[in-house]
Amino acid sequence: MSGQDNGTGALKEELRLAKEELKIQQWGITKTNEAIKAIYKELERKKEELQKLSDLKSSFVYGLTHELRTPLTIIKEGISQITEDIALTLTPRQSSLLSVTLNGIDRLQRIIDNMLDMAKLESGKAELKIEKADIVALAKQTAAAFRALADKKGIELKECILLDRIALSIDKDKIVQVLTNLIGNAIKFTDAGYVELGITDKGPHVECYVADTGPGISKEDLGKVFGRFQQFKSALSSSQKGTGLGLSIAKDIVGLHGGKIWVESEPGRGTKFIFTIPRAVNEK
Amino acid sequence: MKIKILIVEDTEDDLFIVTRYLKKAGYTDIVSAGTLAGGIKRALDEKPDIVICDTLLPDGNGFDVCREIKTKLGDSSPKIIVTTGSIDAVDAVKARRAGADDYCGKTSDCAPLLEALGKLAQSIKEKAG
Repeated sequence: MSGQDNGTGALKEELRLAKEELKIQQWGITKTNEAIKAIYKELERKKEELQKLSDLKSSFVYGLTHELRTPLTIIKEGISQITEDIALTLTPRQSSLLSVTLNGIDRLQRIIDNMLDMAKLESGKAELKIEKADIVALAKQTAAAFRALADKKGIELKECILLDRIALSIDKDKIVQVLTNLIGNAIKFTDAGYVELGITDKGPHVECYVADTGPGISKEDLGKVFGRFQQFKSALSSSQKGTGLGLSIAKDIVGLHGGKIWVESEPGRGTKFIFTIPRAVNEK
Repeated sequence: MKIKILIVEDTEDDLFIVTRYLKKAGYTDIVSAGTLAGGIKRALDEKPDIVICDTLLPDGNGFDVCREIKTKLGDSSPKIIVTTGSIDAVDAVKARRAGADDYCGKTSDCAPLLEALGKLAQSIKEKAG
C-alpha cells in the first residue's frame, strides 16, 4: 500500500511540476505576444509619422519648384531673345558660352518640371483626367515625335503594333508622359541598333513595351531603376543626362492607372521596359 | 507611497529615454546601474521597489540579475521587469524562471514598460496599504 502511495505521490508531484512548467511557458508566450503587439503598434505609429513628414516634404517641394519655374522661364526667354538679337555679332566663344548656358537652363527646367510632377503625384494633387483614348494612336504619335532624334543618332525606331486601335479610359497626357520618358531614355542610351515600341492586347490588360539594343543594366542597378534621382554609370555628358526622376514618375503614373511597370535587362543585351494598363479598372 | 526604481541598463541612450519617460510619468526616485554586478550591488544597497533590467549586459544577462536579487533578498525582493530589444519567447520563459515579474519589449515611447510598471506599482501600494 505504502509503495502505491509513494507512486501516486510521485505522479502527483510530476503533474504539479508539469502544470507549473506549462504555466511558465504560457506566461512566456503571452508576454512575447504582448511585446510583439507593442512593437507592431509602434511601427504603425512610425509609419504614420513618416507619411506626415513625406506629405510635408512633397508640399514643400511642390511650393518651391512652382516658385522657381516662373523666374527660370523669364531668364530663359531673356537670354534666348538677346542671343537671337545679337547672333551675328557674337564671337565663337560667346556663342558657345550662350549655348552651354541655355543647355543648363533647359536641364534645370526639366528637373523642376519633373520635381513638380513628382511632388504632385506624391501629394495626391495629381488627379487623372480620365477619358476614352486610343492608346495605339497615342503611342504612334509619341514615337513620331522622336523619329528625328533617332535618325540623327542613326538608330531605327521600330513599331510592333498589330492592332489598329485599342480604346482605353486613360489620362492621355500622363500616358504620353510615360511613353515619352521610356522612348526618350531608350534613344538616349542606345548608340547602335534599334528602339522598338510595342503594344499587345492581353485581354484583361493592355501591355506596352519599349525595348532597345543599348548597353543594358547591371543586376545590381536593376532594382534601383524606378528609384528617385537614380543615375547610372554611362558615357552621357552632364547636359545629356536626365533628372533621374523620369522612370519614378512613369511608375507612379502607371500605378495611378492601376497598372504595373517593370524592366527586363542584361548588360550587353539591351533593355525592355514593360507596362500594363488594366482594362477592367478602366471600364468601370 | 513613493516608488523607488532601479534601472539596470548599459546603453546610455536607452537609459536616458527610460529615465525621461519614467520621470514624465511621475516616478522621480530613480537610481541606475550599467552592469550585472553594479545592478545587484545597487539592488542590495538601495532596496528599490521595482527593478527594470535589460536582457543583455556587458558582464552577464538580465536573467542572472533577477536570479541573484531574488535569491539574496528572498521575500523582500523588489518586483523585477526584464526589458528586451529582441523579443523572444525562450527569453521570456528564461526571465520568468529567473523570477521576473514581467517581461516587455523596448519601444521608443516606453508604453509597454510604463504599463507593466503601473500594474506592479499599484500592487505594491495596495500591499503596503
